[in-house]
Amino acid sequence: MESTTVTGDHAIVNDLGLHARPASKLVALANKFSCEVFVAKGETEVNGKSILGVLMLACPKGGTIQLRCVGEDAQEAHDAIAELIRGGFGES
Amino acid sequence: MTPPSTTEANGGGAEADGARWLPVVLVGHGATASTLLDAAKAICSSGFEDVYSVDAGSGDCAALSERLREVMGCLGDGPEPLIIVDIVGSSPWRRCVRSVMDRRSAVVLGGLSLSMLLKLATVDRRGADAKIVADACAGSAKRAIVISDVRAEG
Repeated sequence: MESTTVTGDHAIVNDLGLHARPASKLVALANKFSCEVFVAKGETEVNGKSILGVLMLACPKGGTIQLRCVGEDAQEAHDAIAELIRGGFGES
Repeated sequence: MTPPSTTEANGGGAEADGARWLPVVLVGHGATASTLLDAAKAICSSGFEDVYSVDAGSGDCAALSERLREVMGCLGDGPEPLIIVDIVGSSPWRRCVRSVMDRRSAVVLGGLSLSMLLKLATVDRRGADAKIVADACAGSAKRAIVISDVRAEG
């Protein structure tokens, strides 16, 4: 089966940026999908299923991350994670 | 002298499919083990099944050895556990090694940190080998050490 790749740029909107709890939520959500998930900020791309990896991006409010999902359920994973980011990870 | 204390993160043990969670024992000076475990649970709400913390207080007391024996006893005849201690060569570490040697084998990892616990929460420990999980935790902790040169704006 051909592998699907879905990418998108997403702004971080919550006040504290991509800190530990949002990173944990993102990774927990990413791990629900079978596709590979990568998160990048600038030139640095990390495994979106690793909390430490996502935290290392140190992305503040107003920053943009690039989401890249590769695999059978890439579209679903991308859309779900994008929704989580848009919602500020449930924070203000 | 601060007495040692023990907490269990979650009930663990056998899974429905028969694969047991790799048991993990955290040991640290003062109350670092339980405090780090609480912090990790605040970040990752799940993934700490069969994780135990042992607070060593000031470290060098017979009660700590007794507590470690109790915890090791709780693990029963399950898989070889992973023990994560804060400082290699410290008195808690020595007492851990002695407690382990009394009854079974274990993998002992030094350098207990929050980064290790975040990795622990996200690796599948069901039926996992202690050495492999230790390697994953150690790698995560090493990658988390970053020196940033932060300067005032303007």
